Amino acid sequence: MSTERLLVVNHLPEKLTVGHTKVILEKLLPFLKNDRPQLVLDFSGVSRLDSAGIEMLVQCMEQAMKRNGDVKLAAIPPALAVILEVTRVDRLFEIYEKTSDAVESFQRFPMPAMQDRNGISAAANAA
Amino acid sequence: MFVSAILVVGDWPSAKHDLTGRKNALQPVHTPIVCTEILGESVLQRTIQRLRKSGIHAITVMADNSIHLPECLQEDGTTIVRRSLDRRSMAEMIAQQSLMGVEMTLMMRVAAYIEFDLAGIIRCHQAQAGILTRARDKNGPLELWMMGARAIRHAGMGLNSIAAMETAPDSPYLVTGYVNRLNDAHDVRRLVMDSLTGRCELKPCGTEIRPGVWAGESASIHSCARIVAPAFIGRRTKVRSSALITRGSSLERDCVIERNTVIEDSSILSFSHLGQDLDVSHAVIDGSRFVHLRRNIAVTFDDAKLFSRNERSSIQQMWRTLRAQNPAKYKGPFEEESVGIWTPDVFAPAEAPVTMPVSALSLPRAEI
Repeated sequence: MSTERLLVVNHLPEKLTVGHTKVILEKLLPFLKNDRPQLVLDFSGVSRLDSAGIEMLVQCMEQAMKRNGDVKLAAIPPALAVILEVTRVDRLFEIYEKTSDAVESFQRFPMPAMQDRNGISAAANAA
Repeated sequence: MFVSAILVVGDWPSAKHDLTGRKNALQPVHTPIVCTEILGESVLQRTIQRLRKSGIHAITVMADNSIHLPECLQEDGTTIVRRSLDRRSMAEMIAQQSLMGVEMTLMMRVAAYIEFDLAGIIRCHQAQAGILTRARDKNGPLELWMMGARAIRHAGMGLNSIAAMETAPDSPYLVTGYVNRLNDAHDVRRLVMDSLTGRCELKPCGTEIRPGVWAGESASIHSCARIVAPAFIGRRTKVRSSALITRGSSLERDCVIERNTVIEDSSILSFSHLGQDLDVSHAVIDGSRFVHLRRNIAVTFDDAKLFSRNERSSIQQMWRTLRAQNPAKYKGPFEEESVGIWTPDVFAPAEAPVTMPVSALSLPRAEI
């Protein structure tokens, strides 16, 4: 039986708002339908977040949990951290200051990252 | 003794103050902290009331057109002068006091909440026989001066007296009462907490429905909502089911707090709408603007599902104001279709600078 698990780091775009989240979710869903998906969402480039973005995060988490996976957040700007706090979403996720810390939290050993066509860097690691 | 008061609201001598920080020159029309309702009434209104209680009825509020003043000032007989707040305008304003026969003028830039004793500052001013007495507190000088007749005449003749006011070297009158400089949102929260816990004379406007819980007129609190004292619920504010208001939080007028939302150690300013399932703590919120006091960050939300301005209520308020001013034109109850009247022309205050002729300032005399 294969124990290989895929870890993906997704650098989110500037806007995580209505009209933008659908595209991102469509990009992430195929990965989240794998067994035990490990996803790190890098917020360093995000400047706007609204309830649609929050909903997208929750959907990602739901999908990951269905398959025993996890979603972790990294590099959240202070203004967005406030939004996650007031919407009570921050407590659903593990949050890291650096993307590398989030990746390491999935696996103690650092993994070589691979870049896919959609700007998603992926790494396969043995669990 | 004929004593008058000139209250200056706004940009004097330097930066504009508002909730997001000390400098904010971006908003064309803005509401300074002192014009924002805190526990049901603005600091400006409370300062005017304090002056009236002390016996001063000749009160002039001076502000430029960028300042949104509370509507009720026009109703209570306060003279409002709209003009730019430069030294020349202020010198002219003081000169007008001289022409009216005023013997002493209290000049104050209303940027802080100060519990001062008027009789004390008059006594101090008379004892030192100077032309200008500036007040201070333990943290330094305050923007509060008592001017004698000579200073009033000087101000009329030249601008030097205004410059002297700004740089008055000695501040012989020490304010021993409560002072809050209202520099930022932290100070707003401190003022609310000090009031709710009885550390200052500022009292919440409303009825104490339970020990430590004040509610304004027509405030609506769902039976399944929980309010933990001390707390203040402003007039016409709605707290929906399962909401929790706790740790000295204040909700000003016409706010809506939706279901399951928790407000802890926060102040929600007038006409704010908070969506459901939110967890707000250590914050001051003004519509969609959010100042997080622990993180020391100001955020503006674009999403009406989270934080927004309670537009309907603010339009209703505008309707009430317009109807009070012109009952014939704006008759009948407020209806949604009436929103059409809410155009910038109607909404903006008198755009042209209003210069009051001396004859128009029919101010009553006060006996101190």
